[in-house]
Amino acid sequence: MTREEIFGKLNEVFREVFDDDGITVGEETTSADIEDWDSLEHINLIVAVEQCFGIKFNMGEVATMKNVGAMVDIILKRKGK
Amino acid sequence: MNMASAEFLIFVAAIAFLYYAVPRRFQWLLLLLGSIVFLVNGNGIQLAAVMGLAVLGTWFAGLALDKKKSKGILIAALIFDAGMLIVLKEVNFFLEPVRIFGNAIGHPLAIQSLKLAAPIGISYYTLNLISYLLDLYWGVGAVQKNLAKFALFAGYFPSLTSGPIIRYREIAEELYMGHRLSYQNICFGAQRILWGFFKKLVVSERLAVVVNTVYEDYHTYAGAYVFIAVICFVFQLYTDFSGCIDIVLGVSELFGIKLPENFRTPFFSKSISEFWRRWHITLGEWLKDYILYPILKTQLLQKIGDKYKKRFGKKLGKKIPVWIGLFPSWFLIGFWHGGAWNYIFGSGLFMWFLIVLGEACKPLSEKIIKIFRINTDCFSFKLFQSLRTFLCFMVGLSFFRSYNGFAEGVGLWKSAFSTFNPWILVDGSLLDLGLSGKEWVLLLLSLLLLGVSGIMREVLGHSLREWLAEQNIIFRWAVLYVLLFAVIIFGCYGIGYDAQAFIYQQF
Repeated sequence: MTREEIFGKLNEVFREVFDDDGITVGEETTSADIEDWDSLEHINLIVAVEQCFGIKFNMGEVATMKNVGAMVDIILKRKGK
Repeated sequence: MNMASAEFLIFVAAIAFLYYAVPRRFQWLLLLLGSIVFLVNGNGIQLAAVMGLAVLGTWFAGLALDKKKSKGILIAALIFDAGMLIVLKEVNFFLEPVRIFGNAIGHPLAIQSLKLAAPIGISYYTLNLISYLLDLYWGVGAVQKNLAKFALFAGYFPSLTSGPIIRYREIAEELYMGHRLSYQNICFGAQRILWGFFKKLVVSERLAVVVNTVYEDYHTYAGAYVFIAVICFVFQLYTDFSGCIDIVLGVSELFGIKLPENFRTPFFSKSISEFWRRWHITLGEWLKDYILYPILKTQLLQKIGDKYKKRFGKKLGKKIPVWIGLFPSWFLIGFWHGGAWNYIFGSGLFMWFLIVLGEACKPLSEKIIKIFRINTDCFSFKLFQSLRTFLCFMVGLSFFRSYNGFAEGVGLWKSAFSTFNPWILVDGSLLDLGLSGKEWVLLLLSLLLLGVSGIMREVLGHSLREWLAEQNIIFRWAVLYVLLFAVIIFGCYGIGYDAQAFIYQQF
């Protein structure tokens, strides 16, 4: 799975979780860029991403992910194993 | 050692002098030495040893976790650290229900309240230690193999008694690296300390007089007096705690070590959730990362979420497990402040209730906004949101301040609505609350200055300190001298020029 393909699938997950078809995420996208992405929505997003890609983030990764690019890095690492 | 005291300032000046006099590779050792002196001075040898035990235990557990990510070791170490905090600080919270139960079933138990001594800063360093262990276990933090360096992280004296709560992975590098003497660090650090003293000695201590007068006799001071007192307490707590944090961050800045901010203009918040992202930030972040997220990610809450999504639809269904997960987190925030229901309710469960209520009523409020075509993107609506948040927070804090128990908070509000006397605001009755007319004027002007500082940060995006640094040298020093003499002349001092201890030093 390429980075671009992961971003494509992530866009679908973000649009579904935040109910906004206008969302397009990039490497530098953070919670500050998406209105409803607060600390309470974060876990819903994480679980939706886990289900979409069939992976599990550990709690350290959940708490320290700085942006969507960092999320993609972890997904690539997990899918590469 | 009270941080708002001449003794503390002399201590800091001596440490700072030695810090820059020794070779840079030894600077961290000097901070460790200073921290040990601070700790023993505040605790005595025995309690310092109790803290030493926690540090040693956690350090060993860290070494073991670095070799093998063992859940057993992690759990044992967490129980050890959290257990010390709970037993030494909050044991009576658990003994009281047992005693009441014994009385209720007709078998009174001879359980006395225990008066155990806890090391100063135990509520803060315990959270630091727990975050170290969990980060290590989750693979996002590094191990510290040097016990002396680890002890400095756990007991770094500026942040020991009042926070901010620090995390090893964020602070380690700055803590152990050498720092060159920098004019900016010394200047900015000293300014921040001065600002903290101003908040504490000129503002907070005066507000405390009003608050204490009403709380001690709220049957006499009924009606509008109570409203004055509860509003004053919000500002008292803010100026006391944020003033203390200014001193802590300023002292640390003298050593070239930047600690995390704990406040970000909280009174501009538009909701209670936002408020708690701007007030005591490091505690909120800690609870979120180490309590809330692990709870929300459990299988049980995921299943609850799936079930309610099917039943109530996606939007509401996904919120229900979050509300459930927030409950223990907010309980712990209250409990962390103290094992008594005034804290658990006032700074914990009441806030949880408001957040859940706000979320649950969101569809309704959105409908009202749509029907009445309310403009939500204008100053007046944002002001309304900030005032509403302030009032909600104020009600919670009124219980938090009820140090004689939850019933005191209830009694206070009964008294507030027992009489209608708004004229006390203008007929001179406020002078009965312990402050003279001049002191009220001074207090209001000081609060105005704090308000201007907050507006500058919020609206213009930079702090008063940064703005001051851009000014010409004569103006800059004139402002600093005015502030310094304001603290010296108008500060409320006790014996030996010491102020009352900071509120958050007791937690």
